[in-house]
Amino acid sequence: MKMPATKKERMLMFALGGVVGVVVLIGGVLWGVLPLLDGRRAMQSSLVEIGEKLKKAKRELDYAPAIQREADDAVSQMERIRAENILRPILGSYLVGVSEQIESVARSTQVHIEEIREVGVVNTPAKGKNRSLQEFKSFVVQVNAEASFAAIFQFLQKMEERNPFFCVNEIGISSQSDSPEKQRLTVRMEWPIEPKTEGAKGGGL
Amino acid sequence: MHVNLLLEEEQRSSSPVSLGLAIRLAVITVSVLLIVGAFSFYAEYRALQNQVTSTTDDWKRTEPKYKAAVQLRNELADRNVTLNEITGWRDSRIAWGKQLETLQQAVPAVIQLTELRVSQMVLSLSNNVSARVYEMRISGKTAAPRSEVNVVQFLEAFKQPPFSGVIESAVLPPGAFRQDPTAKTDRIFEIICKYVPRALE
Repeated sequence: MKMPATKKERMLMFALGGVVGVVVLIGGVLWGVLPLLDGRRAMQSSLVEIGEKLKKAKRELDYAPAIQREADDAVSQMERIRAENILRPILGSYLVGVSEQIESVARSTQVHIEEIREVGVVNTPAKGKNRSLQEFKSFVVQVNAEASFAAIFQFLQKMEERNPFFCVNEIGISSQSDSPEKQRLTVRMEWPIEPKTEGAKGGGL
Repeated sequence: MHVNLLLEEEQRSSSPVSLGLAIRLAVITVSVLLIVGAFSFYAEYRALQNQVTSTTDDWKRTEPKYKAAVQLRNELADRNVTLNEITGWRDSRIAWGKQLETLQQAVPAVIQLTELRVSQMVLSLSNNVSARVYEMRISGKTAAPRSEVNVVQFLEAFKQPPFSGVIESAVLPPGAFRQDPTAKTDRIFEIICKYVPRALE
């Protein structure tokens, strides 16, 4: 290209070139560089975010074997408790099994049982005010009996040894003037039961 | 005398670097820098894109395992809640068989118990945890001579081991120590023992 002949024309051409250059530069920055920079920033933040998630996941996965062992242990503990300690109904009745236990222990400890009265299924003491679901309820009976003081505590000890979840929540022992060796015993006993069997209340077959 | 016959347009700079050359050089330099910058930016951009793709793929592979691990943790928490509930039940009770045996051993020979009552209440502790609280009321009688000493001695037994660990307070309420209306030579009394609250967890 031939340069303009006069200095004025050359200056004009340079100025025009400059303006075009600036316009092209601004256009390039606005529609080319800035979107790319935004994209890069977005990718960087997404990389950081995913990196954090991966770190968190890795930590969680590192703990997973220990959690699995703990969960297995909790399951086996719970299964053992369910099998051995949670009261199960016999043909829909809790009272039948409970009466058998009480009478068997009473015979071996010289306690004369007069009455085993079913109180029923009651809610277990709430653990926290926010607990909406109680996993367990309790089956309660009241036993009236007569025995010596020593026989009474042996009777209760044996009941407690049979099932560490067996709970006594009321006791009344009173002496009898006509028979000082024998005490009158009223005891309220309870066993944990599972709510899913709540419908099958005790009280006979 | 020096006569300049050149027109203004015909005048040339005597400098070895002309303005045109300088401009050309500047344009070339800027262009090269721009091309190098653009290329390096593009390379970095592509590397970043690859890194994002690879990390996203990594996350896609890890996410199901992570979700399974989180679910396992939640299940464990649920199981522990259930387990704590039932073990809390067990641990909050009192083995009354053993407690009554210990009581029998603690009763002085000069005291005769006439009645014993145990009741249970459920209270909410300050940390919003429920607790079983037992109360034991013991009624008895003793011969009038040294009756006060006998009863105080019996009362003191509840402040000593093995009772001191489980009994919070043992008191003789006002008016609970008095003459037996049926036998004037005897004194009757009542002791109230409050047990330490036993949290249900």
